[in-house]
Amino acid sequence: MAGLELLSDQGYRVDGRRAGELRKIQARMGVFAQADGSAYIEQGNTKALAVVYGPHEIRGSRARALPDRALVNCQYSSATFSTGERKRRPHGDRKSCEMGLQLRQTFEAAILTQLHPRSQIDIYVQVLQADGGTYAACVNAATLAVLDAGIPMRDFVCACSAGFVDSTALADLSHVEEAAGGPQLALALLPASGQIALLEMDARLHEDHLEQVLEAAAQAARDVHTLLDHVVRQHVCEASVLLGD
Amino acid sequence: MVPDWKVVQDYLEILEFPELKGIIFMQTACQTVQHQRGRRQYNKLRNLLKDARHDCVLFANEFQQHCYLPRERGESMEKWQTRSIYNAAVWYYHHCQDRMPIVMVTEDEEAIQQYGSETEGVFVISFKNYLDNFWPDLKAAHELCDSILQSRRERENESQESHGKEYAEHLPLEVLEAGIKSGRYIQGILNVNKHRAQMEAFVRLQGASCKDSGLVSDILIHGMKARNRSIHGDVVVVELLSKNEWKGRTAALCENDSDDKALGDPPSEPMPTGRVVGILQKNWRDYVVTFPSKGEVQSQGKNAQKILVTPWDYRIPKIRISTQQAEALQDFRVVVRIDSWESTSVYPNGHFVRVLGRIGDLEGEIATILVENSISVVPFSEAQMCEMPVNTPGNPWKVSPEEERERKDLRETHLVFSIDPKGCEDVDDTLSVRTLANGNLELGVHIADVTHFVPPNSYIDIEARTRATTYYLADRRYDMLPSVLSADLCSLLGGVHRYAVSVIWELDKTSYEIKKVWYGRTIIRSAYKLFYEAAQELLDGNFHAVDDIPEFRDLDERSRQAKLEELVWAIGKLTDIARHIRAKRDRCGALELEGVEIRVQLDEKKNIHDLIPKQPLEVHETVAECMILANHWVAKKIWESFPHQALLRQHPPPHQEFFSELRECAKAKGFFIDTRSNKTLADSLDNANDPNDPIVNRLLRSMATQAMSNALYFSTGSCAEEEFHHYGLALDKYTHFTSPIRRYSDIVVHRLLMAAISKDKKMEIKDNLFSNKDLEELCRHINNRNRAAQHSQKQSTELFQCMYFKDKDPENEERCISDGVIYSIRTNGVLVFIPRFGIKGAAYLRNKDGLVISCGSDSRSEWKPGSLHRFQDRITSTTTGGESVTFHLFDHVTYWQQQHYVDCLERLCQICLPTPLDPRLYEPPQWSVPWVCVLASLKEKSSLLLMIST
Repeated sequence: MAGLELLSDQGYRVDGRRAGELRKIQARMGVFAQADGSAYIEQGNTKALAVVYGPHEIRGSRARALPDRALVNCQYSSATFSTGERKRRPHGDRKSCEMGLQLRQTFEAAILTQLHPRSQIDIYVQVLQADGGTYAACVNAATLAVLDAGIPMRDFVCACSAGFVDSTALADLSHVEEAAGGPQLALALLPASGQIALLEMDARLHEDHLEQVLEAAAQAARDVHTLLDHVVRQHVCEASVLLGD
Repeated sequence: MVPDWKVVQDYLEILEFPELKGIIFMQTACQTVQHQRGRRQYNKLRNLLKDARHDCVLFANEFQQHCYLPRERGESMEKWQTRSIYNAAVWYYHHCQDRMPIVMVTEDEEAIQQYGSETEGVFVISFKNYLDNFWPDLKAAHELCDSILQSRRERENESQESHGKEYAEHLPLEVLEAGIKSGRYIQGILNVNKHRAQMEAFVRLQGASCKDSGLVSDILIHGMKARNRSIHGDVVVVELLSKNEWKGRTAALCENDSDDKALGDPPSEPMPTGRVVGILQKNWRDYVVTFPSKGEVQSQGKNAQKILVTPWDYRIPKIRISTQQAEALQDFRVVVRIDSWESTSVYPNGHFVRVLGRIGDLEGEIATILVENSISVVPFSEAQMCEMPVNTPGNPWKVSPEEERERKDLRETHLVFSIDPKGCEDVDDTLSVRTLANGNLELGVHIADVTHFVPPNSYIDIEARTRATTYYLADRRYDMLPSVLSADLCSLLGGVHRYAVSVIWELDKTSYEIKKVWYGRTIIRSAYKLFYEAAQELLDGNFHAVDDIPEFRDLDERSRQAKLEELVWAIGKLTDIARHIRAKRDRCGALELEGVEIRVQLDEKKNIHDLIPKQPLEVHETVAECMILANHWVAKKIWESFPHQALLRQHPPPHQEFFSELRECAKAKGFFIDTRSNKTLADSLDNANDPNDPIVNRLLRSMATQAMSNALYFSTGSCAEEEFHHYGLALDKYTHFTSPIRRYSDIVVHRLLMAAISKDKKMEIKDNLFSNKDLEELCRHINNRNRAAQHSQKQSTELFQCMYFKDKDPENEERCISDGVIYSIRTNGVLVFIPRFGIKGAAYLRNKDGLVISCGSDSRSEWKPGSLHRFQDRITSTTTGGESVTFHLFDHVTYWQQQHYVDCLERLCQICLPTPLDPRLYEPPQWSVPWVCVLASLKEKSSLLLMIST
């Protein structure tokens, strides 16, 4: 009946979070043995899997090789069962291609590609369940996978989405909040330097508010960084125990 | 107290009582309300929560770790909700360390049994029980509770025995929204025609649908069926009918109840006609009603418990309520609320809320006016009064040294005085003028510094914001601020030190061009508190008025003479400056509009002494002009400093089609009114002056006033700059700055101005200003309240007019006879304006039996068979015998008028009784019909008589 109230007068969101609060993040690295690097992440109900191969020699056409740096190849797909309605094509549609391209731009900015000229790094990301913020989940998963593969990076890339409702910036939107149709922004951040790897927004938002939303997204990305950092340290600990150091 | 979801749904009105405090609303209950009752009730709940006076809180129990309970398998939604709320109540009890007993109120018998004795200190009882135990003295709540219970029972019964449908079902919301988008349906606000409430209503188009559909006029909704259960003020969705079904509006005068069949007049040309297919937003509020007389109750028949009551506002349909007290409440005005309107029922169902007072009793009638305008006036609370500064004889208020340092001190340097109506207590503006050393003039407008005493978001600020304005009724006023501020510390009384906010201009000595302007906080001491009448006398050079001015009383002759000269010079200079500014504004097209204001003069016992039309004096204009100047300059200043969040006042140009009546009227007198712009309108109104009859010009001006749109407050961030224009005053920017004691908008403007000044000084802005969105919301609220204030003022004046004439015997009382002017011709009568009382009324030329008026040579009128012919500017009544009478527009007629109190619809029923010119010559004839009138046409210099029956 009445339109959904995304932010109550008391400052709660639909799922009980506060405006700047993240959903629960759980992540694991090294989930597959065959790949060079892999990671799995859950951000609330959004679940994503990332796998990294490389750096290795250019596959396919040699002409694609870059003389001075590595080629980052990203492919995004989302499982047919990931959304409320079953998807026909798991990958290769416009949206997936665009997402792949965005991931590529993000990681070209973060990976030290000049250390591996004429080679290729493959990042495959699959979304198992989509509940808002798929781009952010993919970036975070891929960061962990790249780290797992031991590929040198400038810094973590941490991503988070943010929206704007009732003159308040909301961090880490869920599907319900995204579907309400307000402005939404995705931000990938290199937390140590505070540099922005990618910033994307395709809605109308008054420029007076942009600063506020951007700050909310950046803060959320820094929070994500703390969590991912913890995951990585724990993983390294476990791995070193296994190696018997 | 923790209400459960069902209680919140059904008894919200009782929970809104100011006596009930400290209610904890659970999130679960609120969400149920949101889902099941829709936005309107949910908003009410939200407002209740926001209202600091109620001390209510919302507890987000589903987000709390210890309170959240997952729904069990197979458990019904209601059960789970009750369980969650109980669980949260128990948690709350423990959270308060078992010190505060908690009462959970529910209507679910099972829950009472199950949880009643489970936890000590958490009581689970029914709502009725709760009221009995905790609020035995709150009688109104009990009555309300009974009436809600009863109406609910009725509704249940009714839904079982649903029979033939009276109205088409409303379409579902999605269909409506899709229809509006595709242009199939049109959205607008329903406006019921006051004079033909049964048949005609118009839908004023809203927003986008206006431009898309290419419709210029409103859409006519003809008949109750097509109106489909919508009520005046609702936001409705309309489907246009095909062109051959379009109807025209009726031009005939008629009484509310009479069928339009009786008048077989051809209606005017067809206009777009439609029918309501759905209601987007119901605008139901409390309605004041009266019960039908005994005879009617019986005739309503079989179900004696259900009674059709008649709302005070014609535009609202009759409401069916169930009560046993119908007989006891016969002579009372009563508030009811509409609950539902099923498609199976002709009338809406409602329930009885409270009694206001006896019909005809002044207090009851005033209460009616307040309720009908949704004005609630409760005394200021203790918490609010605590914030007020103290000023008692024992502990007088003083100017503080810090303020003395920060403010500019004008106490010694300036001659400051105020000019106000007699008996005014809240003086918020004062003036000063003096010659500077360089020969230039310095004009100052000093306004009471209310914001100094009312910090933003304090209790008193919130209360003032809610009230938004002081309500002036004919015999009393309801203040926006407590009297310690409004009549004392803020009021710029004579001879005392007061804080003020000043605008001071430096004017060129001869051309009065503005050279410099200064805004800021000051301290002043007003030397004189003058009345308009006294100031005018001084201006005219009549110094005997001096004795009335208290400030001069104790002075010896010489200093008195000197001071008087000083004051007279100042008033004279001010008038001169004002004339100059006015002339400048006139050149840009400022309008001089006319509205007769009637003042009610009361004697000591509050009996109505006389009705006096307000006399316009030149001093009025002088003061007004200075205020307009100050408002204009402040508007410029705050807009420059805060281009996106300043509060200004706009006056949109009027719709051209509203001028058609004015143009036609003027044509009858041979004048041409050019309405293309405010300049041309002002000029042509000035030219339309009949030297023999000054009333013509006044009437034309008042018609022009009626065609105007209303001036509105708005936030500059939400409008394009071209729309800021003030049409009536011909200024590009305007705001209200000069009356902060009685208008909240002025308080906002004061804060903006202060912020603008500190911005200029590169200081930090202390008050956090409203954002554009909040300001827009606030403007809407203030506009709304202003409208209510205007309506209530008008209605109370009407009430007093009515009371004034009530006891007068129209046949002997001289005052009931006065001069009137015909200003509009309808198919079966004329509309008449009576300048003495500022009343407009109707006179019928054809009675119910179809007989028309005729007049004999002996100055008597009779009803005779015949016909009426209406022309553009006149109406002729021709009897079968061949005699005929013609009434022209602007004919003067003498009215013997009586205002009659009909026992149920006590509106002013103005029955105009034309009399011969000289009332003393007039002998009342033996009338066979209740009311009679005699018309005398000045033009024909012969007396006419005509009889009118209603």
